[in-house]
Amino acid sequence: MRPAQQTNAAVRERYGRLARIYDWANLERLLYSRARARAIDLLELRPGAKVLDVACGTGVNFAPIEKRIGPSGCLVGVDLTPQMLGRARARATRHDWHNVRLYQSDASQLSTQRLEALGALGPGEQFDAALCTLGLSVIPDWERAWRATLSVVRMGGRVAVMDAGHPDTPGASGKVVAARPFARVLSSVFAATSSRRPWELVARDADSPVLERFTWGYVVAAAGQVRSSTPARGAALVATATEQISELIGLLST
Amino acid sequence: MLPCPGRGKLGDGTVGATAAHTAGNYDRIAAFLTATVDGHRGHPSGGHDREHRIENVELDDLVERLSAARDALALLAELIDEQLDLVPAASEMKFCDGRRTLEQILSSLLKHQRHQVDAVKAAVG
Repeated sequence: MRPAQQTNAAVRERYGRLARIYDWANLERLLYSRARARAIDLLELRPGAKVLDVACGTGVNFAPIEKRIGPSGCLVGVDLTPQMLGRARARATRHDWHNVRLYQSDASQLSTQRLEALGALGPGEQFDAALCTLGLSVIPDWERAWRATLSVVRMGGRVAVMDAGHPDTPGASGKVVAARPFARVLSSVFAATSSRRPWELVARDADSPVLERFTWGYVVAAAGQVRSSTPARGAALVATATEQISELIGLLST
Repeated sequence: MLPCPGRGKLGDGTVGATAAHTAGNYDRIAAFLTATVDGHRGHPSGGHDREHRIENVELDDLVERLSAARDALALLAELIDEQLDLVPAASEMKFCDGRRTLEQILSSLLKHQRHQVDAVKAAVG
């Protein structure tokens, strides 16, 4: 199997089958719980915050987020797979989290307009923070999903990623080398692509990025602040237009 | 008023008419950009209107229009890659043929505008 060529339909089918066993089959406590907790810490959530959980799955992130944002906050979860959302919805009901809203959506298609249409955002509203845990290694159009996530968080808001992949220096530790076949099996079962390294997107696109490794270097929590500076491509066009217009004004003023 | 070489077909062919035409183009680009990003249908027409005639051109108004267009075009800086990669539906807007992306259209429009600014520069300089 080559996960890099996954389609949304294939991912939905795979996770539809995994939903019932996901919470124990992914070995959360052994592999991810510390990194997950750290990623959520790095969001620096405050009571009342509006948070987006991209590829929220069964809602494993909900409890620590709810603890921080409280009933005055709002937690929006999106996921591609109805069965995973069903588990998440049951979790929210079980804990009486009335501020959790769940939507089935392809993460790469997120936008403020779409979220407004779904009722997840009010007009002109954006999220204070967003996170994606064990999602970007699975989502077929993962880089687009990342850009889409950034686009719905306010400037100065926080974004965090927790995901798994091979460490930078796999030969540096016997433990790391020993874990490689195990990591390969897990990646295959969960349709993840371990070569993606989504935390590098955080380092590239967010201000003040923080990156921490867990679980023998295979799991990374990364977070940063959504930039208030301009994206490069749009900024280049603005610079061109501004230069032209300023030049024309200067010529007319002589 | 100075004639603007190579721009004889723009109104009365003067620097004022060329500058007014160029300012109008920036207005249209800004309106097109806003309409495209907001998802509105009915892009502003790419047609040329009466600003080409010298008697309609007031320098202060022209500078004011240009400044307003410059401010409006600052919206570009907020566009993410996904928006720049959108392919707007074909319309009367120049270069908007249903195949080019928003970024390609805007780049072409600004390149076209560069020629107009250069023409004014050549005439004034």
